[in-house]
Amino acid sequence: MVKFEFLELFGEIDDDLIRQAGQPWKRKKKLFHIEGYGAKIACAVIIIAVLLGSVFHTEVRAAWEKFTTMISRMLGVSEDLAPYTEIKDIPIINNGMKLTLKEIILDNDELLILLSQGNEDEEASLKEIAIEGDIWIDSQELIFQECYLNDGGLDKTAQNYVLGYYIDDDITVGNIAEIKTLFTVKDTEDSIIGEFEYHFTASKEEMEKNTETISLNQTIKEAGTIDMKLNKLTLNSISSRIYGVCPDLILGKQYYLIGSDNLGNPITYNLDIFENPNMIFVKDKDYHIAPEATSMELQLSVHKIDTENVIESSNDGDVIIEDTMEESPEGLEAVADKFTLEFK
Amino acid sequence: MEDIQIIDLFLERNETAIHEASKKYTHFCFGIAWNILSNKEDSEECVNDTWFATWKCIPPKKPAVLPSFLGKITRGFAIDCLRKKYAAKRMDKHMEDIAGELENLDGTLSYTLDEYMEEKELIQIINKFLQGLSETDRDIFIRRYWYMDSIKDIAKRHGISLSGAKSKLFRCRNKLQNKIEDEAAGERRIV
Repeated sequence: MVKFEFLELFGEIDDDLIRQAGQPWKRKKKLFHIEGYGAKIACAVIIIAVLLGSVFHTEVRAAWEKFTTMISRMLGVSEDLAPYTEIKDIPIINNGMKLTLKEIILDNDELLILLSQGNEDEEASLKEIAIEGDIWIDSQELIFQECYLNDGGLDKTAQNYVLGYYIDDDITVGNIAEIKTLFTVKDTEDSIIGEFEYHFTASKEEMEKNTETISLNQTIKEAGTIDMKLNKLTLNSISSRIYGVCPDLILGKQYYLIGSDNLGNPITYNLDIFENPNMIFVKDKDYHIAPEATSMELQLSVHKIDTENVIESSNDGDVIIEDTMEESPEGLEAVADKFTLEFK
Repeated sequence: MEDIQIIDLFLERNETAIHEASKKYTHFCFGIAWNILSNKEDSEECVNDTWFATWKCIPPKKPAVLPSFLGKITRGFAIDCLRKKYAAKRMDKHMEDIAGELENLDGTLSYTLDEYMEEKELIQIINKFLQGLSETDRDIFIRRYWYMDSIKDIAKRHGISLSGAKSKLFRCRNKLQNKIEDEAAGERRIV
């Protein structure tokens, strides 16, 4: 095989595509995002900053926050912030809407926030909302990644949202971190229902402790074509990953681990990253492992990729619906024996 | 100077063309070579070779997008140089990673080109594939495999996590692999 054959051929792609990618990237406002197996609507997402002026705005704000915090500390007038454990599960009510911070999870380079939406009048039906959220850890603003409805199907009375933030490696999280969040809740007409602010301290350990790491020793073999070894499972109330190795996995297909937890809740993990031989399966957001579950039974399944894209944009470019790899369940094929992973 | 004027100088065989092109695009071309070679001398050599090769190519060629045209030449020289480094086992980690990510595609491409398709056809398939991607995925894919950006730089550019960038790249590679195999299967049926 000629080494770098693809790179060489890829050098000849269309000039305009090269030119476009050579320009600075302009982030887009992204409101709706459909993704994953089964193409379910994740939730209404509003990107934190409006394109124009966003850099200016965030930089000035972050600098101002840092400056005021520093001055406060120097003068010894820093306000006493409540610890996370005290503000957790306490709802804030604004314009009849109740928003509750249920959980904060620090998982490697990701911060996940679980919010619960309710009404002051508990009889009233829940409104369809969009949540915009800014968050600062020790005055450093985190990068917003995603927001999705975490309905789960496990708790029918709650409307839970997950907001995910990326922690760039320039950001340091102190052992006792000062966390400030500002959530703006809007209705479907883009009108503000209310702003909800939390300002508290949380220990790094506290935020990390909800993610369990379990060593695995599970081998999956299939007719000489797949020799996979799963070696680690990470699990918290929102996300879960399974790490493994599989030398020379054949690509051009999508791989899943499909099954259910021991309480019967269906679970699907998608192969999300493969860097020969390392692989990471990530739990699909539409599936939920019950908190009381102690194990799950999974089976490796393979699906041929449908290369048709679904990309739609509204006239003003605000709404992008995309699913770059949509699969139909018909072509899904189980290719190895079922196995059980014990995690509690 | 505008690109069109620089191209005209080349077409007129005016040696100022090289000066103007290098004045405007040395930084751009050096960046491309540097991402592949991570070596100042080797990158400079690729850039210098670029001006000479451009002088030889225009005319008869008349590039539609000058930076892409120059970048392609630099990139080609840099990949040639990379092959020598690879043979001498002097390739750096960044390019080893990229080469590793593309192992599967290299294999498929090698087989497809030998048996069923011409290069031009495959480039058309890849162009079509890229145009079909979302703007974000396309940018990520081209930044990684044309400009050879690091995953970290791509994650920063798009405000996503490292694992998010890796995941998008994996999905796109997987899709492209599937696309090429499908097209090759179509050709096979015709043959």
